[in-house]
Order: sequence, then C-alpha cells, then structure tokens
Amino acid sequence: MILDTFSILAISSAVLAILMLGTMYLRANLNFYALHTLAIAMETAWMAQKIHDEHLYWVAFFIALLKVVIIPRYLAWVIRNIDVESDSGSFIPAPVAMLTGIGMLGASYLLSVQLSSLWGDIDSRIGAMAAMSVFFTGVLLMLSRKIAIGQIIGFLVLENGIYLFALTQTHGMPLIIEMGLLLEVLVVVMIFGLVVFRIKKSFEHIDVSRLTNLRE
Amino acid sequence: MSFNPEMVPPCTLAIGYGLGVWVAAALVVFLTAERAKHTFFSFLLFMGSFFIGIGAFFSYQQKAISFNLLPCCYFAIAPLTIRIDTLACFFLTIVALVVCALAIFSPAYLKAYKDRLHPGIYWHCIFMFMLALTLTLLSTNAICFLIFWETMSLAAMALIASDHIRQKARHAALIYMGITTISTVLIFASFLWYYRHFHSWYFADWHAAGSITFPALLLFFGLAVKAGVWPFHIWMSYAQAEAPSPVTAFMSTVMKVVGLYTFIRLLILDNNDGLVLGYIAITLGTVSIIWGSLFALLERDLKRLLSYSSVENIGIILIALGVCLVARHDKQIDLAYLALVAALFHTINHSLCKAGLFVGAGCIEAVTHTRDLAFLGGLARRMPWTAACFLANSLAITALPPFNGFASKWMVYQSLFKLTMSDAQVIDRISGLSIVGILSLVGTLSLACYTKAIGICFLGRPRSEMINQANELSHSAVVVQIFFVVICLAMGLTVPYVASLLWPACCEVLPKVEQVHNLFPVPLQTVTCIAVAITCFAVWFLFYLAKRPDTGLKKYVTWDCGYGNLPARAEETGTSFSESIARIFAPILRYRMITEIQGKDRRHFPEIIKFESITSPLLEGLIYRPSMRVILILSRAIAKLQTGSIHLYLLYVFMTLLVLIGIGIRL
Repeated sequence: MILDTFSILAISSAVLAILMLGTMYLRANLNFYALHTLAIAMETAWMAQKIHDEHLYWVAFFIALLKVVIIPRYLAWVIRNIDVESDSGSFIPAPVAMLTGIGMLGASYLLSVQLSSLWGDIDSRIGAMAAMSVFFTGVLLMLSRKIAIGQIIGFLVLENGIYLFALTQTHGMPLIIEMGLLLEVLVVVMIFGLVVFRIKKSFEHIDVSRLTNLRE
Repeated sequence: MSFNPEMVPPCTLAIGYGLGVWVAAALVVFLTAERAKHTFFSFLLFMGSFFIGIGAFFSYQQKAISFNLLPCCYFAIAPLTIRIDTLACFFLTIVALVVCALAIFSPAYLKAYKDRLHPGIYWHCIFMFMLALTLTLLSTNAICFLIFWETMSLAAMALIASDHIRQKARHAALIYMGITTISTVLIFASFLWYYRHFHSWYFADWHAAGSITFPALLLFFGLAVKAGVWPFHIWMSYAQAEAPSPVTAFMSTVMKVVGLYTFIRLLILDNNDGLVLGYIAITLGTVSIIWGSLFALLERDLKRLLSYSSVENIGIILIALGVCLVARHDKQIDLAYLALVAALFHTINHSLCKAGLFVGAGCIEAVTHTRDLAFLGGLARRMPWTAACFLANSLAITALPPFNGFASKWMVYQSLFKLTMSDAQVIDRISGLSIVGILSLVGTLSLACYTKAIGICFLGRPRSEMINQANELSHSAVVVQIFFVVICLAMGLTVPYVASLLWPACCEVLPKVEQVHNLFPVPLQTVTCIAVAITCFAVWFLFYLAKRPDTGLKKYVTWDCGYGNLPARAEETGTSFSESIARIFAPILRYRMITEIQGKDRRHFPEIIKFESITSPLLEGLIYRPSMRVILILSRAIAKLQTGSIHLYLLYVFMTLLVLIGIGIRL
C-alpha cells in the first residue's frame, strides 16, 4: 500500500500519541505532545493546500502557535512550579499501556473500515483511523495517569483526536468555529493549570486517585 | 395564532387577568419574603380566582378558542398554547369557586400557626401551585401539560413540607414526592407512546386514528396514583394529614379535579378500546370505595379520616367513569352521558363538601391543636357554627337529601341500574347489579364514619382541657363554611338545572347527540310531596327538641347506679364506636383487640384494665414495605458505582461512548 502525505501525517500523529503512553516523565510527555500536534498542524496545512482553502492555513498556524508552543510551555511552567517531575505511578504499567494503545489503533482500523466516507479524491478512512486512535489514546492517558497533569495531557490529546476526525471527515469547519475551539482549549488548559495549583495547595499533592471523598 | 386582545372575548380575557394577578402576586411574595402579609396575599389569591371563575363561567358553552399565550415562550418542541373550551371552563369554574372560599379561610388558619409556617415560602408555593394547576387545565399539548403538571406537583410537595420542623411532615412530603414521580413517569411514558402513534403532541389529534390501549392504561395508572385510587391511596393519609389544612383542602379538591379532568379529556375519547379501561376503572373504583370507607371508619385522626373518605369518593367517581367507558364501547350513548354527568356532578359535589369539611377540620385543629378524636369532644357547645356546618357537609357527602351528594350518588346508582337493565353482556349486567349492592353497603359505612366523626368531635363532654377554652376560629372561617353549605344545599335543590348545565361539557368528549332525555327525572308529585312532608316533620322535630323548656331540673334513671353524670372518660370513644364493624371486617383491617385485666379478684375488683386495639394497614405491610426494602437494597448496590474515583468516572464515560459508537455503527 502506497501512503500519501496525508496518510503519513495522520498516522505519525497517532504513533506519536501512542509514544506518549510509554513514558512517565512529564517533560517528555509534553515534548511528544508538541510533536504530535505539529503533525496535526502540518496535516491541516496539507489539507489547505489540497483543497485550496486559505483559511485552513490560518488554522494550521494558530494550532502550531497555541498547541505546539504556548500550551506545552505553560504546562512546563506549571510542572516546574509545583515541583513534580514524573507521574507517581500509573494504573497500567507504561509498556502495557503502550501495547493497549497499539491494540486500540488496530481497533480503530476495524472501526474506520466500517465508515465508507470518501470525499473528493482523498480516502479519508486512514484519517479516521488515526483520529480515533488518537482519541482512544487520550482516553487511555486520562484513565491510566494518577496525577492531575497526566489528566490534562490526556484531555489535550483527546481533543486533538476530535479535531483530527473533524478535519479528515469534512472540508474543514468555518474559521470562526475553529478559532472558537482553539480558544476554548486554551482557556480550559489555563483553568486546569490554576486548579492544579489549588489542589496542590489544599491537599499537598496532585494525586487524583487519592481524591475520592464524596461530598453531598 | 398569536395573542391579540381584540380577538379574544372579554370573559376569556378575565381568565387572563386572573392568571396575571397570580403571576404578579407570586413575584411580589418573592420580594417581600419574610414580611409577607397573609391577608394581602389571600386577597390577591381571591381576586385571581374570582376573575378566573367569572371568566370561566361566562365562557362556558362558548365556542372553543385556542391561542398562543406567549409566542416567545417555546417549551423545547411545543409552544405554550392555551385552549379554552367547555370542559376546561367547567373545571375552571369549580376550581375557582373552591379557591375563592379557601382564600378567605387561609389567613385565620395561618395566623394560628404563624410561628411554624414561613409566610413567604407558603404564599409563593400557593401561587405557583395555582398557576401551574390552572395552566394544566388549559394546556393543549402534552409538553406544556407535563411541565405544568410537574410544577404543580413540586409546589404541592413544598406545601406539604411547609411545617418542615416536624419529622412527620418531612416524611409525608417525601412519600408524596415519590408517588408523584411515579405518576409523572407513567404519564410521560404514555404521552411518548401517544406521540409515536399519532405523530403529534396536541391532545386534539389524539383520537379517531385507531385505538391503542396500552398508553391509555399507562395514563390511567399515572392518574390513579395521583388521585389516590386503591392501591395507590397510601400517600393520601400521610400527605393530607400533615399538610396545613388549607393546603389539604386544595390538594384533596382542586388537584383531584385536575386528575379527573385529564381522565375525561384523554381517556373518555375514542382513542382506546374502552372496555379494558372501563373494567379496570370499575374494579379499582369498587375496591377503593370499600377500602376507603372501612379505613375512614377506623381512623382516629380527623384529617386522615377525611382523606380516606376522599379515597371512597374517588372510587365512586371512577365507577361512574368506568360505566361510561363500557357504555361507550357498547354504543349506548345515553347511558354513557348519564354516567359521565354523574361523574362530573359527583366531582363538583365532592370538591365542595370535602373543602368545607377540611375547613371545619382546620378550624378544629387550629383551635384545639390536636386532630386526634380521642382528645376532642363537646365542641358543639364551643363552636356551634363549625359544628352545624360540619354536620351539613357530612350530610352532603354521605349522600342524604336534600343535599347535592344525594343527587350525584343517585345518578351513579341510576347509571348502574341502567347498565344492569341494558342489553349489554351478561358479565356487565351482573357486575353492575353487584356494584349497586356494594355501593349501598359503602354508603352505610360512610354514614357510620361521619356519625362517628361528628359524635366524637362535637357531642358529649370535652376529652381534654384545651376544648374548654376553644372558640370559633374566626368570622371568616365560619362564613366560608356557611358558603360551602349553602352551595351544597342550593345545588341539591336545583338538580335538574345543574344536570342540564353539565351535559354540554360531556359533549366535548362523547359523540354528539341532540338532547339527552331523563338525565335527572324529577320524581313523581306524590313522592315529592311525601319527601317534603318528611323533611318538614324532621325540621319541626329538630326545633321541638331544641326548644324544650329547660326547667333546671335534672332527671336520672333509677337504675343507673349513680353514673348519671358520666365523666368524659366514661364516654364512648371513636374506637369503641367502630369496634363492632371493625370486628366484621377484621381480616381486611387486620384488626386485633387485646384486653388485659389485672388484680387479685379479677372479675369483680379489677385493679388495672388494659385495652389495646391494633389495626395494621394490609397493603403497607404486605406490599409497600417489602417492595421498599427491595428498592433500598437495589439502590445500595447501584450506589456502589459511585466510588468517587475520577478514573472510574472517566471509564464510565468511555464505556458509554463505546456503546454509543457500537449502536451508531449497527444502525
């Protein structure tokens, strides 16, 4: 099977996301996240060139700016301030999590072949597969990590998955919606960061698995 | 169609004014909160219901109009459309009549309990309740109906809990909450089903497109739960006893009316088979009347007694509706009309008498601070007006002439007789005849029950200290009670006219006929003469008894062994009054009596005599408590899902997502 640039970028973003499952070091996670998002930004740019839509270039640029530069830097700053290096532990050991991620990739392939959406001259099924895999990887990250930063990264990956799916299955949404989504993600991450500070301050730790007291 | 004042006739506009007054009042209460004045807000309640009553009365028999009340208000998928037609007007008039009277009564009662009830919350809930109730009557589509119905139930729940310091009131509110949720779920399910079948949310479209029975059954049970039909009557004795008396009066009258309205509007129509529903209605109604009257007879709590009596009356109405459904199925339109008119008539009568009785009970409660019959007695001397009105209302509700209760029950009997005499199936005819028998038995039982209530409450000697200081609660309370009595009497004396007023309302749901003959045939002249003669004699006899000269001389029977002037403790109690009947029905009532006599020579010189009678409600013990236990165990098992772990919650979300994707692909 000969893969075109579109498929290669999509799959590489999925693979980079899976690699994130393999390490507990938060800095490494953030770097992988930046790379993975860069792949998605490039995918957007490729799409813009393919369908001659100028506004997608802008979307690609903003994704690169926000998700590749600003958000990882902000999170790195948060990590430095609350003084954690790596996740204190994971519900699923890293290698197993990675294998599960790969399994999920296979599962998403099975799911994506059920979709018969082919638009223009691009077979979007590979894109759908990658998007679903990224989505599942995000869910896995959120489920397996114990500390709150892991959850944030998981959420970001999940969000990327949704975006990738939208991008590969449609002609790209109107600029205003894309911008709204980006802004929303930015705000959510900012709030998450602040909440993590609060949790650290109140509980002296940010281990989500220990926050189980239910209050009515 | 949007709201355009010029298009709407003035009498309909009056209904709008009434609603407007209530909306404004609800907002004003919100602002004044703690400092809310009872008199002012009951005046607003009165004004609102007065406008609505006038509007509804004069819109009666007019052509139905429907319009969009607030074009901007759109409940998700249905606009807030209102339809004012004959049937709705009929029910609105009853509601307005009762609410007017209760509005006058409320302040006196509330002042007696001013340290226990928060006036702001109370009045806010009352206005919400009345608004939602009125709009439920007027709504044309299922969504509006459900929203207002639920608002009404929640407001009623808050009102039951208005004296929430007491644990019993909270418990009652909780029970009511549970029951009303079940009712709403059933009604909602049935509405969804109807929607799927008729592809419309509008009630007007829900007929003639084929008959489906299951949603009708769901709706029927939903309404039965809310109306307190056996076996769902359990909540009534709790909620109605613990709520403040005006609220109880509201609930047992106007809220019942809404339930019956829904029944008549949606189930008498030809959208269901009629036969199944008719049989179920007749069966449940019959059990309800027996059950209600028996438990009312045994009850010690005055308000609970009245609420069990409501169960009985709902049963009677249900029997009439059941006969109407069966007759409609058999194409006997005359009989269907007769039964429906009987049901409507009994609905009004029950609302009016029961409201009057609850006002009376409220007066007694407010004055003596007890509802327990064992501590009441001799109130007739202290509260003569209340006693007289309570007696008159009891006569009305136990269906004695010349009050209205007699007329409506007579019509129920007539419809049952006609069912027996008709050429319907043998089973219908046999059951019609046997229900006549049961109904007359129940009539006697309820007579005994009210004899007990009046005898123990008002006659004899006071059983507690409180009664010696008791006085009439207020002038307004007396006026309200007299108002109810006068209306009951007036309706009882003008039955043919009232019956002729009722049948246009029936035309809304039954196939049109030119005229119904013999709806209430006036008895023959000789019979009338005899009845008048007997009545005159009875009145004369009463006056004779009252006017017997008091010589100041007291005569005792020779052999009463010095017991002539018995103390209150030696009097007959409510329990002893009903004991003989309770013994007969012991298996149903689970009635047990334990007598224990202690002392050396037990027979002649007992030292201590202990007596205990126990009744444990059959349904609660056998069905409700075990099922509650099962539900509790199940809920504990479900609560284990709620661990507090964020990871598990995320997993739940993810699993749900996977399931949804799976379903999506399958579809």
